[in-house]
Amino acid sequence: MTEQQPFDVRRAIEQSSSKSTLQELAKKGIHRVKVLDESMINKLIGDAVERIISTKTNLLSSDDRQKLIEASRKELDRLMKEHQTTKDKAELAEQSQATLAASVENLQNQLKTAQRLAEDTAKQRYEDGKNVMRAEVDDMKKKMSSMEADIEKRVRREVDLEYQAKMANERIVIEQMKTEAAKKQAEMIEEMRKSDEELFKRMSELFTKVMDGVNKKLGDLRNRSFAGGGGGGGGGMGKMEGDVDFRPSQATLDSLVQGELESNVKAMQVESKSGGKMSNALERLKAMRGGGGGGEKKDEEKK
Amino acid sequence: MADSKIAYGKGLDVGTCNLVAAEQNDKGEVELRPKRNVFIDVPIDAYTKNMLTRLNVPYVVQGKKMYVLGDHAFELANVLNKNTRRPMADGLISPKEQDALPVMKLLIGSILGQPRVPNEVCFYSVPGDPIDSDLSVAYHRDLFDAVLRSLGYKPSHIIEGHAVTFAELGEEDFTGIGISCGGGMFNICVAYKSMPALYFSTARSGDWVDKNVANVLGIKPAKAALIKEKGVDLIKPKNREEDAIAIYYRNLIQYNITNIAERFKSAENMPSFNEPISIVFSGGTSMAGNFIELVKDVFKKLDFPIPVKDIRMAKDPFNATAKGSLVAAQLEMSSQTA
Repeated sequence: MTEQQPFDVRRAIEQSSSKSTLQELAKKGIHRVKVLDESMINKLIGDAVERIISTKTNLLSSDDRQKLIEASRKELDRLMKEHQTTKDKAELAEQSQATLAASVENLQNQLKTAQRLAEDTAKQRYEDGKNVMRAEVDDMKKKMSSMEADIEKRVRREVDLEYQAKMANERIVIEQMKTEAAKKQAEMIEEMRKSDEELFKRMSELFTKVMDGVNKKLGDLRNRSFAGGGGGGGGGMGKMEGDVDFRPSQATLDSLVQGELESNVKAMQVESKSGGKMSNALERLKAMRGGGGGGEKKDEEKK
Repeated sequence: MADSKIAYGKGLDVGTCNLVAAEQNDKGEVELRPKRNVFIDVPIDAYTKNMLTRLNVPYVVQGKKMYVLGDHAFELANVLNKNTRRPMADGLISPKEQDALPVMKLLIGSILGQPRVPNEVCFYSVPGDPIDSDLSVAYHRDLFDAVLRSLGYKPSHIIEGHAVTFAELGEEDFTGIGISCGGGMFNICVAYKSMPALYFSTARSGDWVDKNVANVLGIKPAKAALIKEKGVDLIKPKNREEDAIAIYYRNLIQYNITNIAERFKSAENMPSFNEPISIVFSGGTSMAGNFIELVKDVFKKLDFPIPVKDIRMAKDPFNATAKGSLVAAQLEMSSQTA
């Protein structure tokens, strides 16, 4: 059983009122206020209760009134307490909301801070990593260049060795080829010498033949000019002027067609056949030409 | 003494493959004596000579060599699968073949016979200047003048294509184009009123066909010539050999007709014909089956610069040049008499 607490006016007023500064009141147009102190308020409340009870409960005895007062006080206290509890709860709820908002804000701040921190950390880590990697890369590069140099040296050494080995073989082959080439060259020179001699001999023969031919042709031409054949004006060899055809001399012609060959041709019976009569053509030609010849030679001679 | 009924003068077709002599006999008919212009080396001994004489095979001994002449040489070459030797190539006797001239003289003498009157005129055919060869026609003429003179004739020459117009274009006042397709050459002559206006030759003809057919069939040219001369239808060849011959013939005709057209286009001295003219083909190479049809087929695809009314074969294609040469010789003889 809770103990009956006396009614706390101060507290009741504080809880039932709100506080305002003078500036706020002034802003609201309130420049003057009446002030009651706590004891006065207590006295006013007591008087009021007493008056109500005395006016409304004349039928009650003083004890009963006292009891009633006591009961009323208790009831008031209970109500006040209840009110207080509700108010506390509201305040608590309000406080919780504010606290939650604050907590959310706080958490958001914390989150931002954590993110920033994480970013900073990541950046830092990246930078650290980069620095570390750079160092490692530099190290690797150094190692690589060192290895490359080693490999190059090794390869060069191997190539040199191989090249030297090959060169040694090549030198042997070259020496052999030189020997063979020298032999072949000697043979070729000998063959060329023989061929040149042969060619020279042939050329000499050919030249002699050509010269003979030229001499013969010159002789023919001379004979023709002396014989007076051919056309064209001028004297002596001038008869050949403009005549680009090769014409045999009379002497050549005579040598070609004179003389008899051994043959049985003359003893052979030559077959012949009749080609009919052609007098019409001859008569027509005679009529057209007045008995003139039909040969081109005549035309040429006229020209 | 000479018979006054005979028109004297002789004609000689000097072809790469064949020689043909023509003269008028006392009956007023043209007498033709052809001889293949080839020879072949045979071993020289008394037995062979006697055997050849008994067999009526002409031979000639030249130095240490003996040759069988003419058609017998051609037959012998095919039997022995050898090539004949030819005194001429591409329509002309070459300076390189001087040694063959005495052989030719013998062949010509055998078909011409002796002159019937002193200095009887003999017109022999010569090619026009070749447009695709640099052989000398002048050298050729000099040699044959000398040969005929040595045989007792008064030599004169006539352009081969011109001789064809004499033989074949009398009905058309000797105006038109005569083409002789010989062994070595195509000879072309444009004649106006019997006068040669333009003449030339190409060094691609029957021998070219023989050589190419021989190459593709792996045979001797003489064998190819034999197949060709047995008779080939150029439009409807019957076997591989005839296919080859037909193909090269078409090419030959294309080449020559195109060249002729081009030459006519570029010639400055071409007569302008009032009427369309005839083109007459002659010569051994033109005697293949459907030759004229093939010519017409090629011709119609060309822009020929001269109006042409007829493309035909000569009445006597093998002898047209010799006959035309004979007419020229007779004309000359008659002018001398007059």
